Amino acid sequence: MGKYLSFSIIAIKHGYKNKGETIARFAFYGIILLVFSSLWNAVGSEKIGLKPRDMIWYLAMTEWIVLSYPLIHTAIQEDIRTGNVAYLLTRPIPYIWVKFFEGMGTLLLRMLILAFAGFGFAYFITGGLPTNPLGLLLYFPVGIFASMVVTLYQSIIGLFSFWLQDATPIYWIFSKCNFILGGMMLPLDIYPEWLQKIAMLTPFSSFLYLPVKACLELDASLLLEALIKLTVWAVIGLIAMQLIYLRGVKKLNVNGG
Amino acid sequence: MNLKNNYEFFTHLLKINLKSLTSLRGAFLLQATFMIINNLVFFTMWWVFFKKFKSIKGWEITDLCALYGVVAFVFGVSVIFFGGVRSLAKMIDGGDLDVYLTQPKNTLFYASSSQSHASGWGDVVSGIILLWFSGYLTFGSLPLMLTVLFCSFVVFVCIGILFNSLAFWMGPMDSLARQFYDFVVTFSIYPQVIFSQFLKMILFTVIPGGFIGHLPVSLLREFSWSNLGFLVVGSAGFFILSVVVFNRGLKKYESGNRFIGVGTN
Amino acid sequence: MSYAVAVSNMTKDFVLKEPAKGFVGNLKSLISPKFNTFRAVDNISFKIERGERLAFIGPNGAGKSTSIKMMSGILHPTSGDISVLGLTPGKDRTQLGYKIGTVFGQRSQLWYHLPAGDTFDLLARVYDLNPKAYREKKNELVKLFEIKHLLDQPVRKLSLGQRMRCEVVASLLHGPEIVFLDEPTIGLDVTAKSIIRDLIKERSQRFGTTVFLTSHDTGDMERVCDRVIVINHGRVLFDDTIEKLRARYIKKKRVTLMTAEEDLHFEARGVNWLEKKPHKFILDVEVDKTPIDEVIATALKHARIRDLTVEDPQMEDVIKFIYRADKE
Repeated sequence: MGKYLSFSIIAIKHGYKNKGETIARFAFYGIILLVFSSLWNAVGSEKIGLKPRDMIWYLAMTEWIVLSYPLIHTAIQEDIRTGNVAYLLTRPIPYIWVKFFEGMGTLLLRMLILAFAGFGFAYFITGGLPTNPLGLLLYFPVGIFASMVVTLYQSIIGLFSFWLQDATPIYWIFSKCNFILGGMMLPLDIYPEWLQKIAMLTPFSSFLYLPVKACLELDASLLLEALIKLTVWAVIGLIAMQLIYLRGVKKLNVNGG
Repeated sequence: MNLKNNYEFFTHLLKINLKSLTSLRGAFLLQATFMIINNLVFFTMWWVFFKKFKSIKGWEITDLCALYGVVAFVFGVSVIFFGGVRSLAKMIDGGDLDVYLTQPKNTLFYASSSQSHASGWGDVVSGIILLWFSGYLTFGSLPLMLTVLFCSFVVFVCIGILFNSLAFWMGPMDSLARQFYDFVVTFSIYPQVIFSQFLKMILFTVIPGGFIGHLPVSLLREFSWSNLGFLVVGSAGFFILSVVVFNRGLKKYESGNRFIGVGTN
Repeated sequence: MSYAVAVSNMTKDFVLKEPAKGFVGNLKSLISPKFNTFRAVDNISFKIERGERLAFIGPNGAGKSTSIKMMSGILHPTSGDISVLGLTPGKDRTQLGYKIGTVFGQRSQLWYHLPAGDTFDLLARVYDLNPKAYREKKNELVKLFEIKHLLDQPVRKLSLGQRMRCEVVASLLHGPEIVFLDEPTIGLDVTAKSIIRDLIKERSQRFGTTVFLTSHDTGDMERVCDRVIVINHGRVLFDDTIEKLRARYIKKKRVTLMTAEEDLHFEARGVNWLEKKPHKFILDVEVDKTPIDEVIATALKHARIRDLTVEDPQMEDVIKFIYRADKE
């Protein structure tokens, strides 16, 4: 395990140097919260059973995950483009695990920094804490766990680079699924029944909607559901990643990257 | 340097761009189709939203549809025709303008139009679909529609040039320019009626998303000469500003004293 | 107007921000940055006749690229006058563009995913060429550079040497009166280098094109040019014919011999043994004392030679020679 974590640590150190990007994420976080608080103020969120203040906190919590997870496919594509992948594949450690743990390093660093941004902006814009402040404390570990599972799925998207010249289009769809099926901007409660059902069958609702809602409402049974579902999706993701990775390595060995 | 030659040069650039894109047919189709899905899926958020809330201060789902259609269409057209704008910062910092400088065509024009992005075709198609469903795309409204789309397009390309030209002074800021561009897009896809006065002012100056989405759609909803004048003057202003800033930057480039990493030979 | 290029007192200073140390230093440099001036090109003057082939030689960082960029209009000189074909490069850049061709060895002007022919067609538009004249010119260059079989392949599939041939053709399509070549053979293998060199020379001789090439490879100048300017630290060290440079400063060649025998030794005037390993020997030969062919003939008498390379001295050695000779 130690050697895997060392990849995370390197990624953290590297990420620390990318100040410009961090600042941009910080600003984007603020902007998106500002836009939506304006939107909720204009239409009134009471209609969907949530106070405007809690709506902003909801968005701050989902965005915390969405703005933090790393784009593993770009890193893998860079390795393929430069030909580094041939050399990295021969290492005793599976390549995809290296990328996953590097991604985790980036993720944790960003989450730490953006936690301040999210809390600060949300507090400033709403002028107070959410109805259940304890939920924020609870959400800190829960959100990190959920982000780790998202990072796992990001790694799977990265693996598609072994087959496609550019896996970015797959990523677009992934991120839009987070938007819609994950309930990033609008809680799933306000969706039509049938769309809610579909969303619940996908991993996306467990990434964002369930953990955030459970923490905001301090609902123990919902939290349990979120954690169980996340664990199940993590196991499924791990198996899928391993299987796809093995096929991808075969493909690269045949075609020579 | 006559107009006909430049026009032929531009159409030839387009042709060669298209050929370059379609030479990788799989990637081209994947990007274009997935971008259509991407945009339409995103719009379902508004569909969900408007099922609950009938309007945002008078803006209904058809208006949002037009707003998103205008932005997608304009974004698509600009990355098809002037895809190089997004890479200007990188070209400036990497010294890649050299080749364009030694050839007898306008450097900014040449560098901007020597790249094209496949995803743009997906944006254009989804833009047209959304505009179609918005109901604003009628035969009678076509001249106005084209006018506002053109102005929006000019503003969009020009702010790209402006942000990326900062690299003349600030050195490596490729990803920052791209992030800033994203901000503008983010702001342009929401109706400005929700924002405070102060924010609105920002949206017509520093982050001019207002010119790209809101103002064109406002004109489609309700025509007014003053708004049209505002849009035309605004786009002309951004055009002049971007050309002036780029040319100033080019002077700096010619002096060789860029921020960091001046070649030592 | 009889000169293709006339440069007088050309000087270029770069202003560099002093790198800051530590957090406090960073903060300080943000508020009041310290600047250092670095003189890349120092008061250079020379003239080039029309049709002349001139090599601009020097080690990395000597100021070669900066000079070529000033002469092709990319950079403005800090002071001094430059006239290329009667025009001032920085001021009349567009006009000059029609008359000059440029090849930057480290940058490509070819479209990566397309066959080179497509770039050629685009350049015909860039230079507003008449379609018929363009076709004739292209066919002629394609034949001369033997790239017909490469024209249907995307540039990304070409070898570096093949690509460079296409780059040179691209720079010649509009029939420039002068071509600037910045490190045209960088990264090429020996065969590709010599092909490029011969083609540039042949083309220049046939059409009287003025050639200005920079290189840190002494081979480039010998095979292509008649005249050479050696620069170092932004200053001209030498400006004369290749023969004179050779006679005065390049007196040595390095010979590497691989032999069937384990041991080899002979004595000759001006031969200096640098390395002796079983089957492998490296020697410096002062060619004015004993010509290379004599050295090899002698070596053949003593051993069966399996492999043999004769190399020019490195640029750095030539520079050292010039400095030493100047002091004496």
